[in-house]
Amino acid sequence: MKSLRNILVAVVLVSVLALVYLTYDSTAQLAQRTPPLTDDVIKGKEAWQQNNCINCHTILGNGAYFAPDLTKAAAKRSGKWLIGFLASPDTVWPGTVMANISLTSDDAKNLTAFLTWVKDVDTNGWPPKPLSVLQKDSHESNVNGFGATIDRGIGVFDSEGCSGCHRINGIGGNIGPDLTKIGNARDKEWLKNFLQNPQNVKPNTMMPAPNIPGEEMDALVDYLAGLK
Amino acid sequence: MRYESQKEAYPYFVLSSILFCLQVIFGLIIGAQFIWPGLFSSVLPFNIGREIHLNTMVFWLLLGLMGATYYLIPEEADRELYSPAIAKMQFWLLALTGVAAVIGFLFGWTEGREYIEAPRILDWLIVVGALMFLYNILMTIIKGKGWTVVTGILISGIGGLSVIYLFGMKFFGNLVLDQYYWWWVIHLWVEGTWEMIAAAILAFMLIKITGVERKHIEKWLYIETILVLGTGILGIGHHYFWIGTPEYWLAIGGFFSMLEPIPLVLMVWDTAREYKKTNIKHPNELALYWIYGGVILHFIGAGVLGVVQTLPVVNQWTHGTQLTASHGHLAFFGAFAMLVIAAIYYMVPDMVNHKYSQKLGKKAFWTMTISMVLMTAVLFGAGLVQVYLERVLGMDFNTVKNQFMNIWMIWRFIFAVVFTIGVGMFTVDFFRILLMVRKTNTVPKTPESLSI
Repeated sequence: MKSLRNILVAVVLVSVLALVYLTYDSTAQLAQRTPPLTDDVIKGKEAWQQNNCINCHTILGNGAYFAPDLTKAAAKRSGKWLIGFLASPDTVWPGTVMANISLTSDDAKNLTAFLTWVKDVDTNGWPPKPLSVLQKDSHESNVNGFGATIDRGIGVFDSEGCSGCHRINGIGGNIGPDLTKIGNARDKEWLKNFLQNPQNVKPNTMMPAPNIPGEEMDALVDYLAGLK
Repeated sequence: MRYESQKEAYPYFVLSSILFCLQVIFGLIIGAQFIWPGLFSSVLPFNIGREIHLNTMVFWLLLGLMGATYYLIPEEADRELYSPAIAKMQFWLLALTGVAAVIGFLFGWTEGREYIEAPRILDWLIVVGALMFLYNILMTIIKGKGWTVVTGILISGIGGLSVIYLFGMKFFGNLVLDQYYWWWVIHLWVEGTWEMIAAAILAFMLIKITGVERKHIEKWLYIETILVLGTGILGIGHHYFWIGTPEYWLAIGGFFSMLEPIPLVLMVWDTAREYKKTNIKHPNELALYWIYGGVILHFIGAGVLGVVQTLPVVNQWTHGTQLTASHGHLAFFGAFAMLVIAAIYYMVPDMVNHKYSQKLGKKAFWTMTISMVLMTAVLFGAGLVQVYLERVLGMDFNTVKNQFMNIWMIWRFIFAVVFTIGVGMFTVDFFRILLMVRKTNTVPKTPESLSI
């Protein structure tokens, strides 16, 4: 029994010492693996905890599995979109499950800074690139001709979170109309007018004004008009 | 039962079982919110419901383990508890802290870190409670006949658990460092110190129930603890694959966590061997159901469901999906919930020489274990679908959740309802036995065959 006890003590000592050393080394490498911490990132982290975000979302893959993983949120959506959405989820994304947590605009900005910081953490390649990039396929399969503008239009479509409400080829939300063949129904001019101010064209629409600057708007309109 | 002060365990068991009920009720609500997101969401948003689901679990398991410890320490130390008064004070301190935490959560008072959401001031009260507990049992052992292997490992586990809790109390601006030390608490609890406590309590009950020689069981307790800690402490590396920590963790975490099931396999094998060796028929079959059932589900939930996704090549696809939820539910239930229930079923009827009706308790056992296995199987299926659609095909999280997850979540909810019914049966049964025990005021002299 005594020898077993000594083995136990030795095993624990060696394991703990190894863990302490690895902790020391991992901490020393932190500066290379994470972007610099600024005040607004730290404030954003505080807001992240105060609003108990982890108990719906995951981040770096850890959390509650009820809402999307936010590790790369800032890569998927524009900063402007995130700030707007965090300050008033329902306005930017009608029908979202996200609770209206009534953040101050400062908190929304800080949280966005925090999410932007997380996006650049070196996660050893996680999450992995999908084996088949279905999203992109679904965009492209019925676009006439590819090109830089169309790619850019797809980028705008993604970063503005359009697929939260609209479907293309079966992928996306079902709050807004299906856009798979929108190019048949609407021309560029109509689309541009509508996207600049949805309420003007359709007074009762749920569609929020996406507020997209000129060139990006043109790219998005080109892309949508090509969906036939 | 040989000492009057062993009864100090009972209030702990009572609160433990009440919090268990709360845990499953909140679990049921948030399980329903997967299907109907608007359900109660204005009064009880998902994140608050889940926070309560997690914290009531941590609390009822810890209270149950503390109760079991208070019960077994006098027998191991061969004397009355050092201070029943401290045990009572500690109970009320922790009970009030727990109530304050749950009410606080409902009003958004939180630290916002999973499992350890209790705000700082409550953390300190929990630390005070833990110190009172440690002091009380240490003094009992020291003033008694001294250490046994069971108490040695039990107290080391409790001490370790308390020290590790301190690492969860600091605010980190850097999310990577936050998750790094957060895992110290969560992993070194459930795959380290909690395992030690559970193994020691299990060993105690096996000594009492099976009549197998103490020396034999204690030897195996040592071997299992050596293997659990030898693989588990560095096995923490499987949480450091993707959170911003260096790449060498892929190798370290992968290697050690592949070995983590070994002590669990040995535990199943050795318990089965001891079961066969038993030459006395213990009247408390129900306690044995929970002990052996727990050993098996501990192995499947923590061992099998863990090891299948622990290698980095697999884990990069499965990390952060419903597969983790499946593993988490069955592991916690098998490793800790069933053990605490086993302890309750052994330690409470002990007062009346294990003469009690086991009918309802057996129904509760089968209802809970079968529905939990089915529920985690459904979550496993949901996880596989999610991994394929979201990670392999690249669909967006919400699309997968809204278009493909509902059917799985409906089945999960159905089995959760059945599980809740089982918990209801257990609770009724527990209070029935407790009332019966309370009528017997004197500590019975147990026949020699039952108290070795």
